[in-house]
Amino acid sequence: MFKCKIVEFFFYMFPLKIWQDFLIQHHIQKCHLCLKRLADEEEVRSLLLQGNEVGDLWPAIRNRLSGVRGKGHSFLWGKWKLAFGAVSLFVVVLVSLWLHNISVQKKTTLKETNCFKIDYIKVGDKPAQAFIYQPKHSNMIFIWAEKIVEGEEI
Amino acid sequence: MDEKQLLKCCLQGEVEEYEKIVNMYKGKAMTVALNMLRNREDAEDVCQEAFIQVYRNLDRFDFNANFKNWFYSILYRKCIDNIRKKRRLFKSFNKLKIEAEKLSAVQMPDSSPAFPINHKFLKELSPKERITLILWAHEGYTSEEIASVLRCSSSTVRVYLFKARKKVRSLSEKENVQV
Repeated sequence: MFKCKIVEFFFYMFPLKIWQDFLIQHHIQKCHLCLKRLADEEEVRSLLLQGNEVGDLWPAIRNRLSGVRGKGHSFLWGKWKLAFGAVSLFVVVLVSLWLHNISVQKKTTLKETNCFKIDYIKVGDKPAQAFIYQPKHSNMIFIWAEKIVEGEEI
Repeated sequence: MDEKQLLKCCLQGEVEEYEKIVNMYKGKAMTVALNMLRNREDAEDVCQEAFIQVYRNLDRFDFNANFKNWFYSILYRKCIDNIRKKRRLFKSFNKLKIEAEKLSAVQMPDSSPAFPINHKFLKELSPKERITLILWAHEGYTSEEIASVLRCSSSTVRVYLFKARKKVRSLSEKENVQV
């Protein structure tokens, strides 16, 4: 009896199906005290509702089945659904790859633009002034070098 | 003609042969549905739906498998769908009722589920426990067979069955139900 109580405690303490099944198979199914606390087949059968008085289901079923040969229809529909799913998936993958490509390209352009620099510029073997200009929304860059007029600071 | 021959005839388009299958299984189907749903009208609707789905999907049935198990698994799913549908309906009805009560003092009908057959012990069991108990007691199914209907492991079935049997026993002790 004490063992049964411990088993019951651990049964509800850890509600893992595998664990509970382990306890059922190793103790409950073998213990006559535990089995006494479970309803038997006869008891359950007497409590169940009996569906013996069933009306004639056939006319309604017949009406709904008339003209519907599910066989080919459902199978074909299933195939079409599969095909449609596969095509949609393919399109989604293509579009996402394309979008990914565009974003990578943009990033590269931005990086290149950001990294552009001129350390030193000379005109006629003399240091010159440099002007760098990039128009908005364009990848084109203009570089303008100008001789320094004497007395002017770079 | 045995069951599988009848089914093959149905597959070839002989709808009339399906009547024999329907008559063969309608009692069992009704017992399962009635105990699952506790309402005769719903049970009849669900049985009808299940028979129609079985017919429409006969080409998917593996003729080496057990037809009864396949049929029960479809019936069980139909019952679950019906229970879910009802639950949703009651939820929205209750919401509607609360809102209507707030707006006016109009009396709404009682929101309690329409279960003409009031079996307390069935009410206490979850749908999975109910189907497990029905198949075990009524059909004499083993936990492996029930698992194939429910599409879960046999250990899960054994747990459901244990809980269901325990609930039934304690309820019948409480209610002093004569066996």
